[in-house]
Amino acid sequence: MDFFGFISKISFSSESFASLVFFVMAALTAIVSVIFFFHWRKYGMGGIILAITELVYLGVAATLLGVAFFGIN
Amino acid sequence: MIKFEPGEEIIKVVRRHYLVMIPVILMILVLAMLPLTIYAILIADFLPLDPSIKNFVEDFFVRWKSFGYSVWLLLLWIFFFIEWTDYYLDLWVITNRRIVDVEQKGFFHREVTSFSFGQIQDITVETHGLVETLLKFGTLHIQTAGHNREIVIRDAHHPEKARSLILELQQKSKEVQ
Repeated sequence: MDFFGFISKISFSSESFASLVFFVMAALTAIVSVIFFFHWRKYGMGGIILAITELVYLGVAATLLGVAFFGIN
Repeated sequence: MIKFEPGEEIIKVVRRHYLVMIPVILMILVLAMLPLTIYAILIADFLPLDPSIKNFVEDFFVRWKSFGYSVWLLLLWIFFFIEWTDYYLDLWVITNRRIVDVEQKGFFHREVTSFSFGQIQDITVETHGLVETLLKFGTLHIQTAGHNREIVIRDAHHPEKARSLILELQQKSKEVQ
């Protein structure tokens, strides 16, 4: 079977595709969060503003990921 | 991380005015409304679309609105914090001995320049237009003896105050010498 024949046999349901997108978004959010926190802690010189920013950023990101997760099912 | 010498004290931290974030916030708000606008346009009666297409669009939005919209908002949320990080980490630290210019150019590109008050040759404040004048922000230029480039902080909050402070500290450092 050639490559394109093999690809054409793969079928994705919309739910599987959404799950894949969700996984990619969750991974992206986690990676970007680590980079953000590294930069803010190392170069932002600490303080209450950064602590609040981290809480707000993570809170909203987690809420949106939660809504996306329940949106699939 | 900026390493300070023993006895060195931070006198002032100069950042860009928070108003520079307003265009970014407005753009993000427009982008956040974009899917809803597209949906409203597609299902509106004035578009000559086939009823089957309209039904497909309606079904698609009903089924995937929570998932799709939250993923879209999450992307915008991350984009906003990339911009905020660039804004927040771009600063000048004025200490009792020197000025440290930190320029964040993206996540993994950062330039830190420091120069003593003795190296300062000229300080210029530029304020353009009504908005900058009323809201007291502008561009600070410092010409130094030891650097090839001019050191600039754009849209600095209260640039006149920063300039006066730098001149005052420069005078004090001359007196100590």
